[in-house]
Amino acid sequence: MGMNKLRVILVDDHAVIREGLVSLIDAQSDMQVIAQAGDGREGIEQARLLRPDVVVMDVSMPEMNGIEATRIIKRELAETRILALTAYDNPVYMRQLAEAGATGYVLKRSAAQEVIGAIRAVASGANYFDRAMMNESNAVGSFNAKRLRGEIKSGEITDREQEVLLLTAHGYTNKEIAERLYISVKTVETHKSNVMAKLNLKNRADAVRYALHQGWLRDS
Amino acid sequence: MNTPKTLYISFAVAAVGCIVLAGWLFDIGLLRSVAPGLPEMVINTALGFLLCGASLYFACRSDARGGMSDKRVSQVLALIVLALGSLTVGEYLLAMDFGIDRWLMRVGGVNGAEDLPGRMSPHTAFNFLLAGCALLVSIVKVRGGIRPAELLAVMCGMVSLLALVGYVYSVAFLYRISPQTGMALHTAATFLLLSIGILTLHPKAGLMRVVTNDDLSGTIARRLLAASIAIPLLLGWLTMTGQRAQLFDAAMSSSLLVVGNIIVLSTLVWTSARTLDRVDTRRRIAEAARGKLLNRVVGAQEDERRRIARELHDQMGQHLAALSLQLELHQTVLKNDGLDKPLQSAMINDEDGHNSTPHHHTAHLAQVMELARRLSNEVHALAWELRPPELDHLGLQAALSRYVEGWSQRANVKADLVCTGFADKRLNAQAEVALYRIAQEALTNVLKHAHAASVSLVLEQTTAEVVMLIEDDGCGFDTEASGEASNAEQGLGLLGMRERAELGGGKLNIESVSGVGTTLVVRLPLATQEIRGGDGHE
Repeated sequence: MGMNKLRVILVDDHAVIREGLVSLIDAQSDMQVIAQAGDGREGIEQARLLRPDVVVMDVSMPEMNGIEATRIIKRELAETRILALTAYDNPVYMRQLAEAGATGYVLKRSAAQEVIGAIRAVASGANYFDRAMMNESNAVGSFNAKRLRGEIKSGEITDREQEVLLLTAHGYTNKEIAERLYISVKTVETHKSNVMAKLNLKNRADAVRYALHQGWLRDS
Repeated sequence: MNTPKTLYISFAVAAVGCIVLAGWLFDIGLLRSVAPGLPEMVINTALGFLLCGASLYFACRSDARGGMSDKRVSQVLALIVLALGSLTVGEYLLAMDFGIDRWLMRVGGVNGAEDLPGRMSPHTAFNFLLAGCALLVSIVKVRGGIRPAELLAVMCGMVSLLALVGYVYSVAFLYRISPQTGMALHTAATFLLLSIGILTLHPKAGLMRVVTNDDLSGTIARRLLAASIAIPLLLGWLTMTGQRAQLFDAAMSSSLLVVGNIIVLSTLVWTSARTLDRVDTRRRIAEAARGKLLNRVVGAQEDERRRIARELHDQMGQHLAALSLQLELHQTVLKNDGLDKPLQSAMINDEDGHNSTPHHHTAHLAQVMELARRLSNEVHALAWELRPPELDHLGLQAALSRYVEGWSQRANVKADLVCTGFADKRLNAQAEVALYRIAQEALTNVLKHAHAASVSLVLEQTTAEVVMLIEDDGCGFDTEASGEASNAEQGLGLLGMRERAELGGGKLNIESVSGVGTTLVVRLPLATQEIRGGDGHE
């Protein structure tokens, strides 16, 4: 029976969290904690030694953080699945973990049942990423890019308008543009609102995106 | 406001008037003309000085006590002086005799009054006109900080200075236009004194403030003013005396005067410049020290925030997460085992005998878990607000996009952030924190004041600088009206934002049009910042 259980290693610098997780996991009939580690380096050593099914990995730890440890474990033990368990809810962390090879990402604030579910999911080879954060990371940025791609009009814009738009995208204020082009601030405002209306740009951020899209600005 | 000096001057001016009146009354020529052969001070002039002195005295007293009656008396006396001066000027202009010149002599029954010249010189009459006006409007303040009384007094002083120069240099034309009448030596001196009296009436206001203040500007102004009056006079007199004694000719005299003036004036310019330079250096040092201090304060604040945030996050947050785990485990155990094990249910009777079922406990536990969950969220939010860990781990873009997103939800204002030119590079930590905090403050302002429908944030990095623009479409405000260091600016926390920007060697500007929106621009130069790569995850 013991042979069928999922073998789990916990890597977290907080003993209280590890203890909680041990009780939780050991209470399940299909999994058990076979080792614990307090930092990334120790986690790697344990994983090398024990070749677990799943490593539950914290992100922020002393010595070596969870991202680095995930990368190394995945390089050496392709069969071992990594589930990130962290307090950080920024999608950027999730992306970095995913790139390092983790197939799951759960917040410490989520319900214990979700953690258990996630361990089972990654063990079976599936991906398990926090649902709320997935929605968020889809929403950020890409929404505007999509809108822009779909709605770009190549309307007739005058040279002056293009000039004003370019300077707007380059971060010049209306007053600065007026000084540069030797025209009045009112004229700048008029040009700007005309060209933005023609290209269906809502605000300055849109203007910058448009400029990037047109290749006027480099994104690096 | 006034000083006792003005009071003494008013006494002195009045005293001169009295003494000369006595000179006329008792026929003492020396009192009337200082030296034989020089123009005499006529009775009307002496009377004018008496009135001027009295007017100055009452003006002085009204300032000290704030009494209306003193002020009225001063003004009435000034009006009489003004009338005396303008009537006499009128006589000269219209070539008429109003009979005022010898009126007092006739009233006083001075014999042979008809033969005496009696009429004051045109300079003197004009000066009384000026002095009367000056005393009349001494209380009046005109917008712009200049008081008309001061200008009038300065003009009066110039006329008397001219006459004095005439006496010192023996150029009669300057004090005596016609052979019969001229400004007496003591008239000129008394006018000069009177002008100074009128000027010192309000030493802390108008033109005088520049001269009388205790700051460096006052010291330099006094030094230069005294020198620019005394030195040309002295040099001129010396060269003229030399020429008259036929030590050298006119050309030589002029040359000496010019050379002397050049030497003296350039020395003055040099010493003044050196004083200013010393002060500038000291100010620069003080500013640098202030910048350093500010830097340290800001740094300490950030460190403290980071420390508390980390503590909240790493200690409280983790303990709360562990607590939640344990509670949930407990709940599971209760659910699974509680109902089918009567022994366990018997064990969890309350101490006071109440029979509580496992069901009951599960409900309680659910409440406790909900509390723990809420507490955990709050701790997390608080720590994040204090200092997002992204700012240290991932950089400005990650931290800012997260903040903007949360702000947009809270504020119910559309917010759009776009970053360009960064690739995977990061700014130095100080610049990142500065920009993050400025954005935070700016968005707080937008929420509080702008009533905007949308905000766009642009973060652009070029080779030379990083620019952050925060632009809203809210109600805007009048940047011109808020003026110098106004309350509006301070209320908006602009001062703090500006300081943050300037600490990084950058600039912060605000453009706002009422009804259209506000644009805030921060530019930080990259020259002073080393750009570091990713956060070592690679």
